[in-house]
Amino acid sequence: MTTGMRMMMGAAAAAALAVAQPAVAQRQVNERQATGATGTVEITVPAGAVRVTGWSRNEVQVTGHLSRSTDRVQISGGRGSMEVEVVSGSGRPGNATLTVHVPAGKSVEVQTSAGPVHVSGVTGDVEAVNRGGPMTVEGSPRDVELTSTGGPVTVNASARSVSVNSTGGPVTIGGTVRGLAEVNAMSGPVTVTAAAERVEINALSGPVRITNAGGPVEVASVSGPVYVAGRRLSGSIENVSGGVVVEGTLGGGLSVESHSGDVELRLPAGTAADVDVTTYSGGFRSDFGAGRRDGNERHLRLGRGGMELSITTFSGNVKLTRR
Amino acid sequence: MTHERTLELLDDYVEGTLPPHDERGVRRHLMQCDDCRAEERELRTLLDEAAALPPGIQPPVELWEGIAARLEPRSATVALAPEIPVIGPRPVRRIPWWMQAAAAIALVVTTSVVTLQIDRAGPAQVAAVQQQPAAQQAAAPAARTALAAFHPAEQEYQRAIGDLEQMLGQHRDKLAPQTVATLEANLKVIDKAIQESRAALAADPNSRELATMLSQSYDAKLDVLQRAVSL
Repeated sequence: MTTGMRMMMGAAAAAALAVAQPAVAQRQVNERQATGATGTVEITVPAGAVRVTGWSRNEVQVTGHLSRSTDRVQISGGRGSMEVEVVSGSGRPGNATLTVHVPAGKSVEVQTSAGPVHVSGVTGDVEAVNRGGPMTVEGSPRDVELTSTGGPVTVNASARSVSVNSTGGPVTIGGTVRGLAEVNAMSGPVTVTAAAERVEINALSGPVRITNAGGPVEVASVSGPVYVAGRRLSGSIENVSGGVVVEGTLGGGLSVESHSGDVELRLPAGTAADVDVTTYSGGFRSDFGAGRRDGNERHLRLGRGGMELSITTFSGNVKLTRR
Repeated sequence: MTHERTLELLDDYVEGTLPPHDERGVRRHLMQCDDCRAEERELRTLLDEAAALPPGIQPPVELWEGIAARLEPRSATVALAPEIPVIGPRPVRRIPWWMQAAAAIALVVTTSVVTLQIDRAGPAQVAAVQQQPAAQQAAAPAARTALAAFHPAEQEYQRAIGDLEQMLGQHRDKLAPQTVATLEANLKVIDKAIQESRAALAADPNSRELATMLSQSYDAKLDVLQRAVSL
């Protein structure tokens, strides 16, 4: 047999395998079960992609496909709580690609790994754990709680509260959060563009960017820059080597600390606050006057004073800018 | 944290129910504010007298048992139940080395690790416990520098950091390499901050601000380590 013939036969065999494999291995899914309008649907997919969509029917429907013909989707439960699970006839289930329609008023709990999770149209709580893929939540859920050990997390919703725990990948929260928007992130940028009543961010190295805070803000970071903008700001912002920029109006006491990062506060001209600046070796610049110096401390009264603003750095420069 | 905000949160702080950020903010303000410290003392006295603190809050994570067990011998005169959290993640009240710091820096002996344990252990055990670190602090001369006064707190920080580093070492191989690299890089950043603050405080040992900054850097390291071991 010539080399050319061998190549042709090999190519033909490969093509035949490629065509045959999905038909042999995959299993189509189309399951449904009646349920109540409220309660919880738990969805467990060992690996694969899950798309959950709220709809107006009091019925759970699961469509999609499973990579192994020995796997199947099991739906159990009743009017309140329901469980949707990929189970295997032998060993660990393979990959699944599922779309799950649930009554919009249900709460949803999703657990998967190595695949994307997308939830939309649900007005109950959304809780998801993903060990390796991106997560996205949209619509008007009540409380959102997401845990990711890899992959980006995106919430673009009108929610009562949003809580994200991530050890990798960017975290983005947009839309509206009527209560607390909370992020614990190991790395990756954290961006909160949502109009949020309260924001709490605990990050290590990723930059933190909050653009539309509407009240108390608590931020702790180590090495990434922190930017906070909003209205009626109060709370505390802490960093170690990263800089901090705060821009907006004050609504209460605010404390800003950075060891070696620069701190800049961009405040409206009419701001009324009593400002204490403490820096060991950092410089100080102010559009509001130099204030009274007392050792490493400076005290300034902006306008008629009132709200307490505390800025502390070791070597970072401090700048007060009039917007 | 501001004076006004501290007073708002002081009740919850004394109860140990504040979230970590608020707790840290209050603690730092207490280190600088005589009025708030006096208020805190009054609150704690009231609580002591009323014996109102609930006993035996369960630690939510078994990870902390190792630290609790190691710290236990230091209060060996107290029949400290193993489930009493000496250190732990939110919302459990952590080991109050900050109280030692606050007390030491202000040269005011108010509370200590042991005092909190007294709160939980009950009045019968108070006398024995009072021979512990609080008594050592009480003996401190009033003229000590901020650096010297911070020393007991620093030792507590270092012990706790050592414990957490040991725990982290035990499960480091279970973490993703990228996570370990991120952790190590950021811990280096914090160590540098600790070194700088420490050196500055050594050069200016009467600076309460520098002692506070050093405390803040240690807090940052503890926070990172606590998060790392709970991954």
